[in-house]
Amino acid sequence: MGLRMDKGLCRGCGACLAVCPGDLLAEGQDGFPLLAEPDRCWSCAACLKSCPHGAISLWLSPSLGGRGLELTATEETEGGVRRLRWRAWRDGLRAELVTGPGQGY
Amino acid sequence: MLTLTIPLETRTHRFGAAVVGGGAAGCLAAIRLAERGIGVALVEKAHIERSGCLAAGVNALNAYVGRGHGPGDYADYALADAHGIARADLLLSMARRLNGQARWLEGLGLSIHRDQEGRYAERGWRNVMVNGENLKPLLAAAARAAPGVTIFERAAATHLLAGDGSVAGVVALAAGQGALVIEAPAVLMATGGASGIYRPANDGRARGQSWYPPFNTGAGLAMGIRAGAEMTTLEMRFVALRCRETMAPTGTLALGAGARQVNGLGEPYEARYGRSTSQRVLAARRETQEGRGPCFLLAEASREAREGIYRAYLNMCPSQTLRLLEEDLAGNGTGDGAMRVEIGPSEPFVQGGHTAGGYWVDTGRRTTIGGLWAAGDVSGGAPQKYATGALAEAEMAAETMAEAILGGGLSPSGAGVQARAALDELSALLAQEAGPIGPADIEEALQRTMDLYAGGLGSGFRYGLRELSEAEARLGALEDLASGTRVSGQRALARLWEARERLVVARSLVAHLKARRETRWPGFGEFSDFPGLDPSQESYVNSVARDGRIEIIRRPLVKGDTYGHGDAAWA
Repeated sequence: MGLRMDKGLCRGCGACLAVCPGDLLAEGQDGFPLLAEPDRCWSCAACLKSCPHGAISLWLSPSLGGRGLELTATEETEGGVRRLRWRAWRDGLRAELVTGPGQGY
Repeated sequence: MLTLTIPLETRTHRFGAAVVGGGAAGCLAAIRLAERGIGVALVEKAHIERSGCLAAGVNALNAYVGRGHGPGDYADYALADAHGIARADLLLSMARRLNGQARWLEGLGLSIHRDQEGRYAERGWRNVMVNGENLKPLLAAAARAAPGVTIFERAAATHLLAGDGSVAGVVALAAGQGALVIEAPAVLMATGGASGIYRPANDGRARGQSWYPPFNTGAGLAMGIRAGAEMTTLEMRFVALRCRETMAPTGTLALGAGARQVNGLGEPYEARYGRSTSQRVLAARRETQEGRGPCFLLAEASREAREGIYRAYLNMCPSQTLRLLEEDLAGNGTGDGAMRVEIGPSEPFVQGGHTAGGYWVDTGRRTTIGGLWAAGDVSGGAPQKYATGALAEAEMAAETMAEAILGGGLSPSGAGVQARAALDELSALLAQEAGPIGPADIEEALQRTMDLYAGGLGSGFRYGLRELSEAEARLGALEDLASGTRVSGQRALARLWEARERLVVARSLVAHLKARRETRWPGFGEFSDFPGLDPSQESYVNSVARDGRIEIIRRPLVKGDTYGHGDAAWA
């Protein structure tokens, strides 16, 4: 559904192309990942999590209550424990959350 | 008119076993078969890293036998929740293995919450809390690491090679180009159930935001129906009660934050309805139909509790956290106080994970076709599976498959001829230039037909005999249209085949809806000609497609702990 590729951050590594559960991401003609059929996207965030550069963000369409907030996730491994750092932003607004072992429910 | 057949470039492989679908069940079955020394092909239409229902993760294992309870309690619960139409043998054998699967997942690296005494943190007696965002990647890594498992990704299975009542392999369309033929004397179907049969609850660009993966086209069901496998209980469609629009689970708020449901007047209403899954879906629908909507989940949540909910949704359905954050940042719900989330029903789905629609299998998860097994959401008769139940079924299927393969009792034949016919059928759909009507048009027409005439969201989940007959007529016309449709390119071919799979599933579903002459699960659907529960309908509605006709078979309820296909009592 709503994915945005930040071409300033994307390094073209292709990690996201190999994780989509719908096989919807392909390399576009400009070399950047392209979501070919946005209406089939499940918003599962697999591609966000796979991106080492935080170049893919998820947003909600207004029909789902979205107002332009974007969400990325970055993997962090510390002492063998894997966590995800989620960042959301819109205009001047910011939020950050960490999920994973030891982060509570 | 000049007709050019464009041949599909084909590679043929031979394996000891093939597993179709690389979701949770498929990954585990492939691992277990390989452990027995069997060379396995795992055939996945996308990428096993996140494919299947667990793509975004889970924040709980919802099928678990908690302290003070036994497997029999779980089976009894699931049978009662299905209002009697489920298989005792399948539920009990599954329930016995649920907790073992949880421990195995923890061994793979799944983070399961523990209480102060170091025990699994239970949420109710059937549920343990997990940080399960990475559950599927853990399973995928285990499958990749298993010696003897060969993974074919971006390969969408289209046909079972099934001549004279036994299976000899599968054919798959490869993304990019061409096709694969996997010859194997034993095949496990683990594709999951079907979405996209009905018009989805969300529209336009957001239509993929559904309860069930939009990628689950019902391929495994369609392959089985076309090969003459017996199917059961398709008429028990699943309708999920979810957070409106995002389709996020309600249990996270209900069980995790003690939220209760209130109608638009602020009144609690759940106690006026029953507690089965179907009755809970019905409750919110009735309140709205009778003018007391919309319905909400209401929780008192401190800032800390709220962040806990945000994290729980990030582990399972990040869209819901986005939605809640949008409201939070807009100043609608800052700080302490009430959280209010609107709830509503999804469109109906055909699947055997929450409800009981799918392949008719014996206790060993063998289908009615020799050499073909089924596990997970594509397998019928055993609702309330969730992830651990799907894994339990996969493990049982792998055990009986290994026995059959190593025992040398399987003698498939005719793989080459069958593969040729399948490839011809696929390549006949390709043309240099596509016609005006494409796969998306056919799917849209299918979804509209089912929505209006077979009890979709748009018809308030109601259907009658005349509507179902109209659905049959329209589906027949759509099947004719689809067989005459030609596309250009591999992606369009895959999409056209998916539309045809959904049509095959829809046609069997309508036959099942027509055959169960009662309203057993009013939350999931209401038969206007037969509005009540009818004790004379306490049997399974099964079906077999023969020469394009769907034959209904009624079978008495299985109440013991084993069932075999040849058993005289159910013949």
